[in-house]
Amino acid sequence: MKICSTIAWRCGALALLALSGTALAADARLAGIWLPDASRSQRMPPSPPYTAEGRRIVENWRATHDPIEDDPGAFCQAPGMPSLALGGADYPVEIIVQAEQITILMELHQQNRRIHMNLEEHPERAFPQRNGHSIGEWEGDTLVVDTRAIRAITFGAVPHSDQVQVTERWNVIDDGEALVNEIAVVDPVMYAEPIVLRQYYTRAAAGTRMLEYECTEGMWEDHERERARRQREAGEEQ
Amino acid sequence: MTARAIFAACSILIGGAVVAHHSPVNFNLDIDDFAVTGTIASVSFRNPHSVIELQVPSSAGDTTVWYVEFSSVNLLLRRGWDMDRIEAGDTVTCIGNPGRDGMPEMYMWTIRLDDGTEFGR
Repeated sequence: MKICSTIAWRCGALALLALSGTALAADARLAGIWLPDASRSQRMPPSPPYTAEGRRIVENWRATHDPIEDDPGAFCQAPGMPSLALGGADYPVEIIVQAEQITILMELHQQNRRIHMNLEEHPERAFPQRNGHSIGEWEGDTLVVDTRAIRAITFGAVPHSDQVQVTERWNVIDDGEALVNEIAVVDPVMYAEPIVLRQYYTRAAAGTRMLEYECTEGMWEDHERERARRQREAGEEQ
Repeated sequence: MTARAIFAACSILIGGAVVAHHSPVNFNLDIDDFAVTGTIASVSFRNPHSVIELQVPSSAGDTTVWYVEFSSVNLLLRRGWDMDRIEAGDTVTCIGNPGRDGMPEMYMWTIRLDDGTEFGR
C-alpha cells in the first residue's frame, strides 16, 4: 500500500513537473518583441453582423461626425481593446512574461495591457477602461486571456459597448518565429454573433528596440504655433 | 472657422498655422505618384504624423505653401529616414497622394532630396 502510494505521488509530481515545464517553455517563447504581420492577419469584416441597436449606434456616429474634422486619431484617441488586439499598423509589440503577470506593451499610442496570471476571477466591480481588465491562464502551450470591463467606444476597428467580452488564444508558431492571437469578440449589444479574427505577428530581428510614442506632441506644437501667431498679430495691431 | 478654412487662410503666409493629422479619407489613395517640388519652410518629425510646409512657386510668380503630411516619426526611423538631411531651406520633391479637394495639401510616402537621394516606405 505504502509502495503504491509512493509511486502515485511520484507519478503525480512528474506529471506536474511536465506541465510546468511545458508552460515555462511557452513562456520563454512568448517573450520578446513582435511585429504585426498584415499579410496573414484577418481584418474586421466590412459588414459586421450588427444587432439593430449596434447598427443604430454606428450609423448615429457616422451621421454626427465628419470623417476629417472629427477624426479621433487627430486627437490621439487610442481605441483600446478589442481594436488594439487587431494590431497596430507597423508598430511593434513587446511581451514581458512574469509568473504573476504578462505585460503587453504596444508602441502605438504607448498602450499597455496587464494580463493577471494569479487571478481566477475579475474584480466584482471593475470600472470600465479602454483596455479593460484581463486575466490569463495557460492551456498547454496556449495563453488564454479573458478581458472584460472595457469602456464603450464607437470608433476604431471594433466599435463596442461596455458589455463586450474578449477571449484571446495566443500561440507561438513557426518554430518560434511567429505568433498568432485568435480573438473572439462577444458583445450582445453591438453584434448578433461572435466575431473571431486571427492576428499574426513575426518575431522582430535581434537588436530591434521599442521607441516612445508621444502622440500629443503634434497637437501641442500646433497650439504653440497658433499662440505665437496670435501674439504676433496682437503686436502688429498695437 | 473650420480647420481647413484656417489652413486655407494661412496658406498664403509662410509659417502659418497648419492642420494636424488628416484622416486618410482626405487624400486620394488611388494616386500615389503625385509630386510637388519646392523649398522646405518648416519641418516637424512628430507623432501621430509628421509635417512639412513646402513653399512652391507658381508660374504667376507668387508662392503657395503646401501642407505635406507624412508618417509618424517612429515609422520614419524604422524605415531608415535620415532626419538630419531634411531641413528648412532644402529643395525637395514630395511624392505621394494628393488631397481630394484641390487644396495645396498631400500625404507623402517618398521624399527626393536635391542630390537625388530618396527616403520612402
